Amino acid sequence: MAGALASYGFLNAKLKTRISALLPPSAIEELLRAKSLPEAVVLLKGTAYEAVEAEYSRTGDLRSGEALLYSMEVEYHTGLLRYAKEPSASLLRNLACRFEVDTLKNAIRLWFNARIRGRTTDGASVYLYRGRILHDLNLDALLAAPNAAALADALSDTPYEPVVRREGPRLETDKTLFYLESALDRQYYAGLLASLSELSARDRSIARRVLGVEIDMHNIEWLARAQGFYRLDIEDALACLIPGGRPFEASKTAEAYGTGNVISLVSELLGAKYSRFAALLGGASEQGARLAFLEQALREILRGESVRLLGGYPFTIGIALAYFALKHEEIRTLLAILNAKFYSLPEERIRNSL
Amino acid sequence: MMFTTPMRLLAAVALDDSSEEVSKELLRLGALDFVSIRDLAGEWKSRVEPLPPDTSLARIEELRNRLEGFFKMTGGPIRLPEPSVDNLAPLDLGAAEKALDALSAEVNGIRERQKGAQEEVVKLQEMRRQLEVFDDLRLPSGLSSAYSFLAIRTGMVPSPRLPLLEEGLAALPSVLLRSGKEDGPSLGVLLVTLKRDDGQVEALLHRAGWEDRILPPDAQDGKAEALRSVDVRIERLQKRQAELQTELEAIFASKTESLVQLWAGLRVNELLARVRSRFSRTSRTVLFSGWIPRERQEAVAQGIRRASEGKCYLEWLSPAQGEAKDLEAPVAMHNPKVLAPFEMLVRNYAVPEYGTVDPTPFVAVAYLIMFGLMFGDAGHGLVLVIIGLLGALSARKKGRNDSLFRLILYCGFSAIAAGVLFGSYFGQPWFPALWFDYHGIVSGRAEGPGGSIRSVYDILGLTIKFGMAVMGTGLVLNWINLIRKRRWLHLILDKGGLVGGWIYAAGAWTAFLFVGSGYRELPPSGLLFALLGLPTLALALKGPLEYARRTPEKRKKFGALTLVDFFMEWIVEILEIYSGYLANTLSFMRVAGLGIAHVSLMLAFSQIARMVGPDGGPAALAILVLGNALVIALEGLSAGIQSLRLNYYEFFSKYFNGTGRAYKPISLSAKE
Repeated sequence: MAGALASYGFLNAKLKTRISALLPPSAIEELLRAKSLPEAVVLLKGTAYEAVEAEYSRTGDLRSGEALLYSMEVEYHTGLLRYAKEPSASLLRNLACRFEVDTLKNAIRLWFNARIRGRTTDGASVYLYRGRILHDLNLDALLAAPNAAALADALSDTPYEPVVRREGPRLETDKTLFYLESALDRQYYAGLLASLSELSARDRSIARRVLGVEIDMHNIEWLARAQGFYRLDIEDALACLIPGGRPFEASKTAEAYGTGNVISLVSELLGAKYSRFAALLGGASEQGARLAFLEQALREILRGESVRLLGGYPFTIGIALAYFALKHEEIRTLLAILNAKFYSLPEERIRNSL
Repeated sequence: MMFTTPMRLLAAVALDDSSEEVSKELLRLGALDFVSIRDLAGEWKSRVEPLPPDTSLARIEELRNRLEGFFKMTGGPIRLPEPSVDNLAPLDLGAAEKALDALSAEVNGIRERQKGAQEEVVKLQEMRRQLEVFDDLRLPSGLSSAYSFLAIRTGMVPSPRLPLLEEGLAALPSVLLRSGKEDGPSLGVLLVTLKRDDGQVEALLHRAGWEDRILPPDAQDGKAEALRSVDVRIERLQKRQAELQTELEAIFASKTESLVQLWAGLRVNELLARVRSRFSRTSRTVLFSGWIPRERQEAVAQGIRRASEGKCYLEWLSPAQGEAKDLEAPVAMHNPKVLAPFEMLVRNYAVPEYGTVDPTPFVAVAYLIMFGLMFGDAGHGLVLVIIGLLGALSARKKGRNDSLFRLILYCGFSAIAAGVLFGSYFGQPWFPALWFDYHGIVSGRAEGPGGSIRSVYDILGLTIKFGMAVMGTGLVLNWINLIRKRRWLHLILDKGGLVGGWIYAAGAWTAFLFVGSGYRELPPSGLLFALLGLPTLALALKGPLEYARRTPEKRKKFGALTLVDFFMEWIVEILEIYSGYLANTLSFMRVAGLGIAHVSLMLAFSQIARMVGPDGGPAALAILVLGNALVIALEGLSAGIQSLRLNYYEFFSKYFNGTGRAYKPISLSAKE
């Protein structure tokens, strides 16, 4: 009891304050109603995202604002490490790895587009997050790598080197990012799940539940993409799944995968608890819409879990996990609205996609 | 000021013809907190129809919000005038929308141009990053292909054609560095471009007569110069972006007057539409109803009569009268402007119940005394006064609420007064204390008058007595509230009633007697029984009496459980009085605690300064300055928060019932 209080008293009080400062629904509503991108961005003045407005007013470039939002999200995470105590600090560190993996994946995508597909980058590398998260990533050396082997060399002294060395050649031979990105994700989740062992029983159970939902979301999205876009065979697709989510029966999943039936695939992976979401998927006509709907439904599940955690016992890792989920969701919503305004999408369409 | 403002409920009927003028007059008066006429019981309800919803209201509101968004894009804050209903020009919503669309197009145009510049900046930044990876730019051209984005060439160009090449490259992210003698027939050139521009670059090079050559080994590698060249171009583009932002601000500046005028028109029409949306109607009349402060009743009546040319019927009800009884009267607090910061503190907690004591003046006194006792230093108070003044001026300049800064200002004055009483000036005894020497007492070297305050225990005792005074005031205010609400049983037998007060006073007297006797003597048992036992027993009557007063349909069937209920309620009430009041009183010791901490910190910094520089000097001065700054920041915040806490929990819990609804009339000065 005293341990939990000492570990989480200050941290969670801080987080609860931050959660209370999340954008209210009225602010999101105002953003949705804005007539143009500049009129939407200016509404961020006086909020926690004021810096995004300042950056946009300076450059007129939404991508600069997006890059800034991303760096803000990273700092919301890493900034908390100084208040966290072991063993929860270890979990938070491993959670922050997600940003490192994402940054690495973004850089490799740029490299892949330029090197393998021969496309131009149009300065996109400038928007990559350059701050140090947990390891030193030399992104410029990585982007300048002439081949996959050099790509791995550029990551020496980081835990990502072995993965890139192992899976990198497939970038050149198979001309797909799928296997490398999947391997990086599996490595991230393996580290994350390993860091749970040191937590108290209560924290472990909470973290497993939240991460389980996240892993389920990830696996379903991967499987749907593997089936719909990459046309992978079932062995390859199942090999890419991340352990730690809800247990599922491989034969039934394989059968659903084989028939291309997304509804049964989702039902199999999510189980009876969330079967209503799978049933709702029947309403969407084509694959892309189904995926978007699926993503929306899974986000709803994670949001529900977060809200549940906030209402429970306050001295657990649950508050931090809920905060991260809610903050991520807020930034995602903000980005979705601003991008939709950039493309002048009608209000109703944006509303439906949130 | 002592109580919340008395209200009157107006129910009015006017001819439909005059509804426009009446709504304008109501807005001009800004006094009516509307109630739907259909919420009034009785004959009103059945005879009226609500007005159909005004579709323009939402559109006006949207346009006004949009315009306010544009105001945020301007360089500085724009002071919006209070709109007026006089000389109201008709509002053309279509034209207003067009004007805003045109403005939006101008803004978009500028942002697009900024974005164009940014795209170039980004490419140059990417080029710069790639250049950093190179060791030597003189390497043969073939090697540069190992890098993804950059094309690096070295070669010779005939001197007369060089300006042509430079001109062509100006539109592309590129670096061109000259090498060799400027007056020769041809010149060595190091050229860095993006690979994706190869097509355009090749054409330019062909036209310029480019010849691939490896630069001589004695030529500079040019990396530093190339980087500098990129930086100069980035800087130029960023300057252009800033100029565009200034251009945008200039556009707004040139249109401020017309935009402000448009805003005022939108705002007043929005408010008028809101007023009208609260009207109900019959075939030839409009009806409306709402709460008005009693002191404005006459002005409102005259205004409506004038606007309707006397063709109206007004009915006034007090909150306890007729149909008004079923409605909740709103709460307005009528305090002098000087007390606005304290009213803000009260509202921040809750709105008091209608008709009860307005806590604002009591909070003002209690808060400032508490703050002074915790932060008693004239020098530190002076700093707060300066911060408060500057903050208030700045807030007013920006058109923002200055209440917080005014609160800091008042706290500063309180600290100055307390500092003079305690003889403390930036932690130094520059002048003798007028009351007691706080620093001397804490450090054990008390000098000066002192009187009854000679030790830390005396300071603790003082704050406890202060706490008892605050709580006693709270109890008295509660009795006044209960008398006004005619809740006689609670007035007598509640823990916050007369019996509760009696027990508290008797308990306090007994405690002081016990302490005064050196913890040896209590009052005689007969007296103790009369002082504490009797009222405690009397509390047991509350449950049964309340039960008896209830109407048969509202009370539970009497049985053994009812007796258990009475007993449990009595026990809880006793616990709340004895432990709750004791805890509340002792809670005031934090006032002494914070005060002692303030003095101790200042003593510590003075000692450190003396240790560093016994004869003064810059180091000692720096420590004193930093120490004072730290104490002002930390202790100022602590004292402010603790004073608030004591008001909210110890003082308010005795009498404050925060169930009121704030009075919100539709007026021209109302803020969104």
